[in-house]
Amino acid sequence: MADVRVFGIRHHGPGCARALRAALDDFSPDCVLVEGPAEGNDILPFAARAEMQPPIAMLLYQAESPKDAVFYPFAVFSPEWQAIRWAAEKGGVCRFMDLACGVRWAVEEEEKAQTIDGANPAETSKDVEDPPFDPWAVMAEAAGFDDHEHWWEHQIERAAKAPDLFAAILESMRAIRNDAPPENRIEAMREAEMCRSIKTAEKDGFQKIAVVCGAYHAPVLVDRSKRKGDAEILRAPKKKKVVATWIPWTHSRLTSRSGYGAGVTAPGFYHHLFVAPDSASARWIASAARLLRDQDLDASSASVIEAVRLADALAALRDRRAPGLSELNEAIRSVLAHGSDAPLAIVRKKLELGDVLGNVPSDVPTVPIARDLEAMQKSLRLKPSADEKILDLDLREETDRRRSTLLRRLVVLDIPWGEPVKGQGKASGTFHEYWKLAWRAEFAVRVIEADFFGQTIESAADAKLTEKSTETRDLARLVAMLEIAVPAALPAATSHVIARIRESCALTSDIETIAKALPALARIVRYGDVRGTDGAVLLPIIDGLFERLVIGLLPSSSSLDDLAARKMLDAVRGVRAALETLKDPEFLKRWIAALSALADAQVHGLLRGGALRELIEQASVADDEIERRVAYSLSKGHPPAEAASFIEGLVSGSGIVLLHFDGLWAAIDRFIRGLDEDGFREQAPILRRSFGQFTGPERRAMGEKVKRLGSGGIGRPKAAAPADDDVDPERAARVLPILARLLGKGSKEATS
Amino acid sequence: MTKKENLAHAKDVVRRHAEDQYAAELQALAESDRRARPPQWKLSPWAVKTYLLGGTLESGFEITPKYIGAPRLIEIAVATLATDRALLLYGVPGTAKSWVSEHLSAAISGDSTLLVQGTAGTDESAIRYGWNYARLIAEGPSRAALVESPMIVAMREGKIARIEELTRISSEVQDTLITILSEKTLPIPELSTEQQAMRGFNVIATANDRDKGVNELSSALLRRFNTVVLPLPATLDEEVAIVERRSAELGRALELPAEKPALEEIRRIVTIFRELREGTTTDGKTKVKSPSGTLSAAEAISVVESGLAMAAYYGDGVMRASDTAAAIVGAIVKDPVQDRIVWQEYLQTVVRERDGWKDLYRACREELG
Repeated sequence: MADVRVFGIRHHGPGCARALRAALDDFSPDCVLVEGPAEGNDILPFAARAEMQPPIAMLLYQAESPKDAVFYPFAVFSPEWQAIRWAAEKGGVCRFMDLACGVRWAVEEEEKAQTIDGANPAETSKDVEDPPFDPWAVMAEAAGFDDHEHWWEHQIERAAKAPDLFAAILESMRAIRNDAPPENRIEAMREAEMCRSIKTAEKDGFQKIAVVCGAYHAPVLVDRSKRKGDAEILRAPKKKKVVATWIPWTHSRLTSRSGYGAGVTAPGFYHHLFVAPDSASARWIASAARLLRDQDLDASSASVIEAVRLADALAALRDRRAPGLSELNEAIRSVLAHGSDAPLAIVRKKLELGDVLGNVPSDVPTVPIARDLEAMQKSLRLKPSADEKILDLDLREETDRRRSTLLRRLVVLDIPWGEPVKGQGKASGTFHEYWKLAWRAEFAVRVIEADFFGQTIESAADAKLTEKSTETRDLARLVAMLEIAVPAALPAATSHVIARIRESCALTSDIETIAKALPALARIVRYGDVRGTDGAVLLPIIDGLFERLVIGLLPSSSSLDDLAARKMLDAVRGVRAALETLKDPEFLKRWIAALSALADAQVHGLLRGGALRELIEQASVADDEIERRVAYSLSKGHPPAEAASFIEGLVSGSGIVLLHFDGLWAAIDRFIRGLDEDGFREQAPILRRSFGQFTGPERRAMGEKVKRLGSGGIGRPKAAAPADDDVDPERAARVLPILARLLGKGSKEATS
Repeated sequence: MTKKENLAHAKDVVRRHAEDQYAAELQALAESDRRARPPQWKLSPWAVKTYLLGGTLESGFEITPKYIGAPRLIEIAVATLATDRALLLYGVPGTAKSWVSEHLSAAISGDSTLLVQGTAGTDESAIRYGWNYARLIAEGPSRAALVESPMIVAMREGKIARIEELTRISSEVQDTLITILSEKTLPIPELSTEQQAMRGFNVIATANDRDKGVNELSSALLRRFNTVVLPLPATLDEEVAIVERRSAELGRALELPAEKPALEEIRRIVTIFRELREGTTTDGKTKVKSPSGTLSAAEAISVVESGLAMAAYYGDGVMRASDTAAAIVGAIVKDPVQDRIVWQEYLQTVVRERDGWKDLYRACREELG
């Protein structure tokens, strides 16, 4: 009969992991069974490889819908991982013994179908590791601890040696569980399956079998000989096809905060405890001090010594064997941070969570697109890292251009590894792009999802965008897609979107939409120059759109209400940017003609003013023309509200016009003075809105202008010399010698 | 010199030192304390912690809590003193900094009187030593002509010295502490000698970050302290407990004939203070303006105390809204213009609407006139 020993563990407990290793060394089993789904067995051999660096996770997903996925994360301090590694190092056999995920999913689906009436919808919790009932919390409470993490850390993790740890865990779990049945069908199936796996291992002729499982299951697995009816329990619907792979994981995704059920509070600290159990406090505080120093905070070695002493004293005062995380943090706060919480937040983020990203060998079976992504990352020297960093890309460089393309394609695939940020400081021209890079562990799933669309990043992004573009006819959205497609160098999607835009153009009669689409299209043409993509294909479309715009501008500007007029004005203003980008004199000429017509037409005051302003900006209207139009629009014949909107359209944005055209100034002045009290009160908000947007210097200049106009009237030259009536030339002359000496010219003048 | 010659009349003093007032507790703790004591400590760190936080001894003797709040703060403070690092208690006014400091030194050294009160006028001699000039001129420099500061006494006797309001002391004088804290010695160059600190010596300083005219601590000095920030009470119940306990004690000390303070009345006062301080009502639904004062638990205590006195001398012995209204208004309206508006708004929008607060509303209205 084989010798079977059950080791009940706590997931991700460094003390447990250490004790388990020692226990395995002692027992030296020829077969190690680990709690984990059977599908993982295929990829278990990879765990032996040196390139496997935790934190990593086993990812299992349904072959036909990769969205349904579960992760089994392992850190270096996870007992399961240590068991797997032990077997790999000592040449033992290692197997996962838990219920296959495919079965689990099939059962869940069946149960969901049964409770479809909504009476009791099955919980769709993603974590498979722990029962919602937490046995440790019960034990911690019994021991008088308010927090079971504390209790565990105190009792187990910081214990120097715990040879009888597993016997003790088994004993206490037996007491807590008290022969309680598993709480649901899945749990029952899991325990039955684990027992069956042990039986299989015995049948396979292994002599010493170590069983590593969550502590809660330990009593059941020990008493497995009494079990009956497992075959009945394990009867299940046809199981789903499941694919398993290893993916890199991060420490922050190991925390309970990230929504991981069996999570821990401070993975960084546990890692630290596991790696350096002997001088944990000193090392921890010293690393915190280094971190604070990097942030330019005072943290001398003397302070580190004092902090370690305080932590030790605190632990003694609390009757603990060694300082735990709370003692260490309190010591850091009190000594290094002078009582402030802010530095501690840095420690929490960088040390306790620690942005560590694991690594898996490159030949782990996975979807082709992931392979493609890896190859790209390698060739472009862009290593995925959980640390946030800013990437500065110079688009004139081949590699940088390709990097930008890759990041953009990933965005199309919903993998926002990089996030575009505004240029910082010096080089923020069109040749530069800035990206904020941070790889998140969940991207691995999205990569697999993306495989549906194609086998390479390029083809998948291309296909996805093409598909998206067929779903809409909205010109604005299509143009937005084109703006994504062109810089991402997706040829099929680009031509598809362009075709869609052409179709959509023919159907769109909304001038506002057209006017808004133009600047974006013009931008794409310009980008074409920088990136070597050919923007010329767009020119015919722009031609067509512009034609419609010029024709449709006037008719669709009439009888608009305030809101619609404002929108239209925004659209009209945007066109200038497009024309400046395109630099086509013919376009410009026709646009000016259209604007002149608009400025003279009976349309909303806002539009009339705005059109005139555009004309002034293009320097295509004579001064007397401006004054005539202004005087006309502000003359008594127009209702005051109309006139005020005209002013808003004309001056809003920048006050330069006002400063340069005295006639305009005088006309507005006349208009405002002509208002009666009620009229003024009515128009004041609109005027305030127009004038409120001006910058400080502009307003100052206007104030000076008011002064000048007040004293000398209109038409006085701007650079007039200050009044010199009161200067006594004789007294003024006395200053000159001193002034000359101050300017360093005194001696020379004297000699010459 | 602060000597306790009036110990015999201890009952007659307005405010007794902690070590006198709680002598019975300290003695009971010392008797039952069997754990290791740091050199010169009257109690072990565990017993000091029990003295501050309260508890029941094996003998059944009840220790009253002196500090109501997070135990970890007291643990850090005690652990700091046990590692002979100086302790800096930091926080806004009225968060029991001086109170904790007094009780810590009473429990550790059995003497809370070695006190340097920090003011803008505190000079070096208050921290180091001064001279008896008559003697100095008559006999020349000698140890006998030296006027010792509480600091030097604490160093000689191995006790805890307290510095109150460290940040009110000018920076030059603050720096005198650096040698004392790092070298644990005080040179007396005039006599070519020094006073070395005996074991058991340590310094507890208090400082607040709110009052005006504060001299920032230099980083050199800050480095020599472990800092513990004492927060305002976290919950309403905690604050009510503090106010109730302290005002009962004070009432006893003042021999007020009033009954035990009415818990409901205290709860109302604390609620008002908390709401004004936090700028929002307890239910989080109404925003209120905050007045210029701190409105700490300490001020709530003095309001209750004056309410008790009013009830005892002019009322029927039971503290009612009419007894506390004047003190509440006085505590809140520090600035006659701004705070008055704040208080009136609060009265109208919050107090008036609240069920069962009608009496308080009327009393406060009358007070405002």
